[in-house]
Amino acid sequence: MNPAVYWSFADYVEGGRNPIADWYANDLSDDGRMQFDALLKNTGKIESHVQWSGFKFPKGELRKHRIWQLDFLADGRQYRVLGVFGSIRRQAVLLVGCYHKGKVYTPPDAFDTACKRAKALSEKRAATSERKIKFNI
Amino acid sequence: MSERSNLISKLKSDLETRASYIKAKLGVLVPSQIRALRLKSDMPRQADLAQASKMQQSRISMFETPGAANLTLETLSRIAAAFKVGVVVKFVPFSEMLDWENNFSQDQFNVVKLDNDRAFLNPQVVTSQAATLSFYRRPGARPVAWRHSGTVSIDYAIGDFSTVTDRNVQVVHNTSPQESIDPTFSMTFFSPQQVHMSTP
Repeated sequence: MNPAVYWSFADYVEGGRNPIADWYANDLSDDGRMQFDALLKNTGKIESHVQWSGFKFPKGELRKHRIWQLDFLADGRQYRVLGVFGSIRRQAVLLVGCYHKGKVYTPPDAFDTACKRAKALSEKRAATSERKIKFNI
Repeated sequence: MSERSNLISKLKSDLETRASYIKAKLGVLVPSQIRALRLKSDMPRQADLAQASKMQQSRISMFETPGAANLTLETLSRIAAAFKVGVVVKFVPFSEMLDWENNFSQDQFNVVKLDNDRAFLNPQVVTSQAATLSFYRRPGARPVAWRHSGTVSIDYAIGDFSTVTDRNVQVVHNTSPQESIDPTFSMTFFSPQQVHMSTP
């Protein structure tokens, strides 16, 4: 029997555009996409978010917007997904995907963008789109 | 073509895609196991595990990060040793790897530590020429055993046995399952000298 899946994941969507889907399709390599898919599949089965691997609440401006980060490594890069918990119980909304080397982030405005998107979501100027977890592959 | 069909096609034809696929599963599930064991251990801080394994805390942090690179067998062995558990690394079909991934739960994952591992510390080895064990089986269930290369493998059992490999059968409980309808299903091991039994 498969273990319980506690969490669902959703992409940030604004004006009909899905920047997480764009990041997934265009900025991640095959390695990165597979790592990201495997990460979400496993993470959804961990009931307490504080026990998610690679999870933490960053300090500073991001914390004010209750933005968390989920780190993973792929193709020699340190990727970071920034997100917030959604209005639906146990829903994690992905706001921005980026990678960094030390304090140099790509894209460089990833944090600002995450804050703007978190604000847009809280003010209901943006929507979400469910991200399907691939249990069949 | 669906995403799944597309990926399967690439997996069949491309070495790098297969390597990425395998690496992605391992890259999530190995760090997740380390994290689960640490959180359930008597050394829940990364610094404690670092001390027990004689490694830097930054390395422990790295090993718990999904996609962790450079996790060698040497490192895995050292971490397992710190937890007082073993590690099994084996090659399997892709289907088995996917099952492992889908069935894995960090919340439920735990491993009996050496100090409490009665099957390892006090095994009873069967040395007689024949050994017969009883199984309970639901009507219509697949056969529970078949001969394989001179040894016996167990495919499906309910209630009173758990199976390990085709050479190792571990008795976990010795009680009848409440829901059992069938009479017992008996099975004789054809190579009993290769069957190790541990009583609970």
